[in-house]
Amino acid sequence: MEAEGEEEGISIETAILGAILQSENRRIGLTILFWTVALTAIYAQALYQNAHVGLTDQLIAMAICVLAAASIQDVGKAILGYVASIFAAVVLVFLITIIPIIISPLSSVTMQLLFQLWITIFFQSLFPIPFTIYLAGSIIGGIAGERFL
Amino acid sequence: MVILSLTALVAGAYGATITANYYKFYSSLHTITVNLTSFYWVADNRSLNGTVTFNLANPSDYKGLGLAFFKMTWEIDGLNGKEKMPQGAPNLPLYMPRTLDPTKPITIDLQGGGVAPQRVTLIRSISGDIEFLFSVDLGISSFLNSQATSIDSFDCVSSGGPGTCQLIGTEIIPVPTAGGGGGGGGGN
Repeated sequence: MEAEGEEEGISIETAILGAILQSENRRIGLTILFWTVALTAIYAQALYQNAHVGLTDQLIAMAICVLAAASIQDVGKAILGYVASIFAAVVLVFLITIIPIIISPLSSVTMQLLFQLWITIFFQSLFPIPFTIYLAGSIIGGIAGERFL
Repeated sequence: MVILSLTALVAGAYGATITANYYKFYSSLHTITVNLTSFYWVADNRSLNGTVTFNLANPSDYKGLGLAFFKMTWEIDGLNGKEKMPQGAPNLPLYMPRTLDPTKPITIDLQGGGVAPQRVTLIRSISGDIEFLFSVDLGISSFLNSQATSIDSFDCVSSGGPGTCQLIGTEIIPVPTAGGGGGGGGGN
């Protein structure tokens, strides 16, 4: 009786997952969501430990772009997905970065200076080389996904 | 898709841990403490010598703060501040701790110069007050080191024995880049 219930539960979950994956838009939406989460996490851990994004972090981010773009299986949609993910990740990381500055007991002059500092760090961490590398990774991933998946 | 979702989960969990620590960073700069644990001094007409000991601590939960540099100037105030005798920066010990560890005290030998020995002896002979003011700047090393330096400034006062210290402000100064000078520091 219990085993039957368990089997029923698993089959419902499988059906839901199947329904989600069958819908093309939903699948792409989920991919972009995971892509954004992964890029946000990579950037957050790098910036909050070293205040810059190192080569290893950039390579991991690029690998994520290849993987995510491959799972989209369409070069055009992969590029659009990349633009959406990187934009969302940058906005998220920037918000996560400035909230503790706003709520801290620092003076307004120090806060302003920190905002400027973080904007500079963000631009240095993303433009122009990392952004281009990730874009190239997304194109390669998209082509690979189209041909081999 | 499965690999991507697993990667996002693992990276997300790790990123969340680091982010949670980052959220304590700015408030931790304000909670750093300097304690003047002991101060002894002797003076006669020809010399004024003393020894002051500080303890540094980071009572916050933030992990990742250290001591980049320790700077200090001192001043002797006599007659309730009417007679001020700035003494500048003393020689600091060769070994300085790199952590904000209260078990690693910083002991500094002081030598009064100029007219300070005579003045202090004179003021004491008429039972006047003598206070010693120590202005301490702590350079805080953190994850921001490559981009900016954080400095906590304290004023400590003692007339002998343990003293009291107060945080005056926190300053963040961007590291000058090769392409141009950095901006000014933000005081607090």
